[in-house]
Amino acid sequence: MTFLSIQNLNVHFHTEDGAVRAVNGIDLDIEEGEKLGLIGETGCGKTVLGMAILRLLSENTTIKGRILYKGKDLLTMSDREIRRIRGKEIAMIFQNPLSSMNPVLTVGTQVAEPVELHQHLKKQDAMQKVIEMIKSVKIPSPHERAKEYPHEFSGGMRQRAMIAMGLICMPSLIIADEPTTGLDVTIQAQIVELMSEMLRDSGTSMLLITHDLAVAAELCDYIAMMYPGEIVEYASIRDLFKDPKHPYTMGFLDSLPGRGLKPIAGLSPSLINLPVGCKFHPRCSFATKRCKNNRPELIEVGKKHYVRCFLYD
Amino acid sequence: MIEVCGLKKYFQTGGMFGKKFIKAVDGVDFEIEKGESLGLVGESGCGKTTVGRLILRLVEPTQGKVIIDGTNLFELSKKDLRKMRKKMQIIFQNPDASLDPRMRIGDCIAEPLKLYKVVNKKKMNDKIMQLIETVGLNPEHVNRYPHELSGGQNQRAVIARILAINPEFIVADEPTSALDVNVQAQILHIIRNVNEKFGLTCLFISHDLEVIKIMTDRVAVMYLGKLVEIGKTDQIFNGTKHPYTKALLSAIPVVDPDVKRKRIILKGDMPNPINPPSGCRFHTRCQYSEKICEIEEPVLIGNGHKVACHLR
Repeated sequence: MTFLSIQNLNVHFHTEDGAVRAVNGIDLDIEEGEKLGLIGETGCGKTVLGMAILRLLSENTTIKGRILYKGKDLLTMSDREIRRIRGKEIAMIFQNPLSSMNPVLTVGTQVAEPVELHQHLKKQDAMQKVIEMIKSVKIPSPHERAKEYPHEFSGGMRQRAMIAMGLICMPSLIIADEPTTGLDVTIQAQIVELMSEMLRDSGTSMLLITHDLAVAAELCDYIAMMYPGEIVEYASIRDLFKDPKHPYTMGFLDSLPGRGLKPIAGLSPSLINLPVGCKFHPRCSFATKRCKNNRPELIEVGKKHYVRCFLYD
Repeated sequence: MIEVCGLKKYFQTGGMFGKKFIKAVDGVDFEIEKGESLGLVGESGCGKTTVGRLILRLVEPTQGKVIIDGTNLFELSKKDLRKMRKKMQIIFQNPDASLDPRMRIGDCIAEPLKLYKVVNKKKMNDKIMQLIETVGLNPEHVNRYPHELSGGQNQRAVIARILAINPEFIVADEPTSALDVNVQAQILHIIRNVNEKFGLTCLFISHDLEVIKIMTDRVAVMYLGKLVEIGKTDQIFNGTKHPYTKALLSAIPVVDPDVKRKRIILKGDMPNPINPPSGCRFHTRCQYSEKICEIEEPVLIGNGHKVACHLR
């Protein structure tokens, strides 16, 4: 049984301007202990996918498909059941710790929340655990820092507190949404180091959502490249960097400042008005008539290497 | 072309009784040659943006001089300053906030053209179209409002507006840090092209070392209000002599899974600029720190490639 299996997932939002098709027929598996990086540009639906797993999306959403976690469908569970999973078995680390933390509660109280809720510990025991956790994410003088408020923390420290909050119940899956975005390079290096250490020790699986391929390369085993609403390539880190198959992946790699800074012409399509056929065809230099009319399926091109492109048909 | 001498800027905080000064820029010297692109790197809060704003006199300095073409910018009268401003322009980090939300893109670009009487009314439209084309926007964008365009398109419009008055010197303050990698590559290309085409002098401020590496001729590294190292881009990236620059460089994530770089992880955060450490400001986070570093402040010395470190 696959640890987490996303099957034919579709997520559409209903807005005044029309349906925003954020996720269109995504299939994705994560094995136990595996670290998967979900890469894409702003507005490609990667965060929506992460939120859909924990059912954190708003009411005006239509979600179709199945998300099987250890064989059980998260989408059809009762609210009571999903609440038992959130934070305990699947936890989330959000992008912007300042806006996702409660400004009027101390950091200690917030880190304690998941243990109090799921493990029913007494306040004192919970606090003991919180201090240990804060210490393990390497925040200095944990006793004092636990009594401080989020605004008294620096950006890096806040992100550490977020990680402590996410890992305190020893979840089996962590969904980390842009955990290092907005941090300085030196602080980013600290956080990446901390995350890889904590994940190695606990054997937790991870879905890392980011636009930064370099960070994903350091933390993940596999990469799924997303282009508005779908996965266009799935490969191991090595294959993706050494032997990218999809024209979008190649373009994405070439546009990195360290690899030539050659941009792909044009812009990503809006999720309201997606092109017919292959979503990438208007920007692709290999596009043919077939790409304009038909949507390619994911094809296996190597061991655990899949690509959605007619070039490999 | 531009000479910066002993530039200082202290911001006052605290109330009547607890008056404190944030030493954002605390004695910075460097020069930029004509047609050169100088990169200014450092972590957030090191004062790099303040330096950029001081050079354009968008804020008044506490002390120091900025000499542009032989005149001290801070001694100019308001009228002369306005004339000088025609030569100097800035690209801000957030393009959506640098354009008036109630003005069409075309009007935004026309504004400096009218203000500085660059062209007459008849030729106005042609000039706008020409600018729009230079930055890779479509003619239809002229009648759109900023909220209808993407961040990358707005940043193009900002660049078009800057080019309208033919400046000689531009400050680019993190022009791509709010953009996706691919859009970032597009914008950096445009900046590099216009720099070459119009022979612009540029101060390129960024925290992203990889961007600095491809965009600049020389690099200045800033830490807590002071420069710690300055030199040719190649010297900094391949032969840095300062431990802080070393740590910064080693912190760049590697995009090649086969290369495992030995990383120097700096401990803790940058100290508070209200009360910077004694001696070398970096000694609290430096792995090579010795006694002298705590007592005496190192000065920036060297020929061409200058370093401020006792142990170099």
